[in-house]
Amino acid sequence: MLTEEKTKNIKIWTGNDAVANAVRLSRPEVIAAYPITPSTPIIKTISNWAAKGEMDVEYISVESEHAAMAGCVGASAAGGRTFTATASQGLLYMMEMVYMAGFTRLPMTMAVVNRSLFAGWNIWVDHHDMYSMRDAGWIQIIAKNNQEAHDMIPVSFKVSENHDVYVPSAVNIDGFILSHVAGQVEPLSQKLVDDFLPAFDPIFKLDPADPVSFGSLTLPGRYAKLRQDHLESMDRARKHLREGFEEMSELTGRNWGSLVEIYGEENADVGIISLGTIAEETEEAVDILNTMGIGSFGATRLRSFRPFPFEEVVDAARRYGQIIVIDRAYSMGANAPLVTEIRNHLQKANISTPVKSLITGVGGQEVPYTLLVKMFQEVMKQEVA
Amino acid sequence: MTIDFTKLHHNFETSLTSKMLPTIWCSGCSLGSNLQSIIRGAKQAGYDFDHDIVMISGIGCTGRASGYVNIDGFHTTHGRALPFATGVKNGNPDLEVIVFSGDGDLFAIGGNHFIHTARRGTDMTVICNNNSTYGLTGGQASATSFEDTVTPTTIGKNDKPFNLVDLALGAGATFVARYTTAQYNTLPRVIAQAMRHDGFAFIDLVSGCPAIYGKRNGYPTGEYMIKNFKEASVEIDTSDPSYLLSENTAIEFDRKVGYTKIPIGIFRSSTMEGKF
Repeated sequence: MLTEEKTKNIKIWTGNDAVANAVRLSRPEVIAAYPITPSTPIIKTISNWAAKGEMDVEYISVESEHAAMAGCVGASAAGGRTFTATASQGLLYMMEMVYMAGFTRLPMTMAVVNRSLFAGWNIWVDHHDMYSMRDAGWIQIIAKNNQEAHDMIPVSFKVSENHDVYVPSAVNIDGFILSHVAGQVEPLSQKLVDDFLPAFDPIFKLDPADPVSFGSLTLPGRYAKLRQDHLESMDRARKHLREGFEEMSELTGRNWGSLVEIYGEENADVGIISLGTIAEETEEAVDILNTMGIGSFGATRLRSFRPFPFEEVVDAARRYGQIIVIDRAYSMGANAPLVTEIRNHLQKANISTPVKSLITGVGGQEVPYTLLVKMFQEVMKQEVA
Repeated sequence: MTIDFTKLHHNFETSLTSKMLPTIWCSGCSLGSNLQSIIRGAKQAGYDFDHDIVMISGIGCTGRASGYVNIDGFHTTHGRALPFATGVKNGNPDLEVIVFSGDGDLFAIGGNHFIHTARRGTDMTVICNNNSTYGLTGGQASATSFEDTVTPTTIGKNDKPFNLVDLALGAGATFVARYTTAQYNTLPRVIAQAMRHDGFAFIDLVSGCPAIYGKRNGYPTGEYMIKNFKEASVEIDTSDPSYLLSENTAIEFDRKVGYTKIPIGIFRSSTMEGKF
C-alpha cells in the first residue's frame, strides 16, 4: 500500500492542458492570442480562467496572429511577462513580428503546437512550422510528452528572461499527438514554480521615468554589433538551458537529461537522433532492434533546436558507429533541416561518423514504432556519399 | 443505421462535388442553406458553372464551401480570400469572382483587405456568412460577436461588434445588402443582382451557429434560429435617407432570446446612383 508521502498527485491532461496549467503557474501578465488548430485549447483554457478571475492576467482577444505577436512585443517592451500560443499558418502569419521579438531581444514564451503548412489543407503534425522560425533569434525547445511540455514552460520563461540570455523562447509540442491526447502529468506546485522562476526584471522597458527608444535607425556597424551580441547571447543560452533543465530535474525528480536525452545503448552501432514525439516512439523501436541480433541501437533526442546542442551532437557522433537522423519536414531541393545541421557541425568538428537521413511523419503521417523498426533497417543500407 | 449517400439525391447535386459530401457542417447551421442560395443566385443570373465562375474562400466553416461546389475554387489561407480574389479577377477579368467566407476571416484576420478591396472597387461579389463566431475552432469571439455574449474566449463580456453594412458603406462598396438565412426566397434574387453588379458588391448574410454560439447565447437550435431571424428582420425604408445612419443599420442582439432587430434590404446599389 502506498504511504501518504509516496502518493503522487497525477492529472490526466492533454498537452494543451499541461501547457496552459504551467503558464498559469508562471504568472504571465499579458497574453495576446488568436485561435488556430491545434493550439486553440491552450488559449481557450487560459482566457476562461482570465474571464472568471481565476488567473490574474490581461488577456487580449486580438484579430489575427500578426496582431497577437505585435501585442506580445508591445507587452514585453512595456515590461510584462508575456505568453502566446500558435501553430502552422498562424506562426507564418505572425512571422514578421516573430523576427521583431527575436531581433529586438524581447523576452517572452510562445507555445508552438507543431502542425503542417498549407497546401493541401492539413491540420496534423509535422515540423515545417518550427523550422520556419529557425533564424528568428528565438530559443526553440521541443518536448516529447505532456509532462515535459508542462515542466519546460517555467524553464522557458526563466532562460528567456535571464539577463545573460534575454531572447524570446518557443516551446514546441507535436500537434494532436501531444496537444489533444491526454496522459499522466504530475503538476508542478505553485510554490515550486515561484521559487524556481523569479519575477521578470526587464533590462529595458518603456518607462516615462527612464525613457528608452526601441527600434530606431541603426547604421550598418552598430547593426552588425547587435546581431553579433545576439549570437553570443544564444551561445550563452546553452549553459543556462542546461542549468534550467537540470534544476527542474532536481526539483521534480524527473530526469529529462539536459539539452539532449540519451536512450538505450550509449555506444551503439547505430544511434538515432530526432526531435519530439517521434523520439519517444524511437525508444520503443530501439528496444525491439536490440533484441534482433543485428547490432546495438541507441537514441539521442534533442530538446533544444536553438541554441543547437553542438557539444552533445559531437558526443553522440563519437559514441555511435553510424547515425540516423529523423526529420519531420523537407527542405525542397536540399537535405532535410535537422540532418543538414548535424552533418554540417560534424564536418566542422572533423568527425566522419556516417549520418543518414530519414524523412517521415509529415502532415500527420502515422509512424508507429513497428514501422520505425523497418525504416531504420532500410536507412542503414543508404550509401553516404 | 448507415446511410448510403450514393443513393441520396439533392436538388443541386450537379452543382456540388458529390465526393466531398456530406458536409462537415453541424445540424442547424446556416451554411448549407446559404450555399444553396448562392448556387440558385448564380443560376438565376445566368452564369455557366463550367466556364464563368470562380469561388474563393478563406479559412473556417465557411471556407469549406469552395470545395463543396462543382466550380473552380480556391480555399485560401486565413484572412487572405480578398487579395487572392483581386489577383484572380485581374489575372482573368472574364471570370465572375465570388468570395464566400466568414466574419472571422473577412473582418478580423482579413479586415484590412476588406476596406481596401471595397475602396478600389474591384469587380467581385463578397458574401459574408456572418455567424458572429469562429465556429471551426470551437466558437471563440469574432469581430461580430455581440456585446455581453458568452464564448470560450469571452465570458459575458465582449468588445463592440462591427456593423458590417456600415463598414462596407463607409469603405466605398457600391452594392451593399443584408439578409438572413431565413429570407431563402429573396436571397437568390439579391445574390444574382450582386453578381451582375459591375463593381464591389457585398452581402452581409446574417447566419447562425446554433451548435456553438447560439446554444450559449439565446438561439439553441436551427429551428429557433430561423424563426428568430424571421421575427427580428425589419425591411429598411429606403425612401427616408436616415436609414443609412449607423444606428439604423445596426443589428441588435439579446443574449437571452437571440436577435432582436436585423435591418435587412439593399442599402446601396447602382440603381440608386444619384439618389444621395
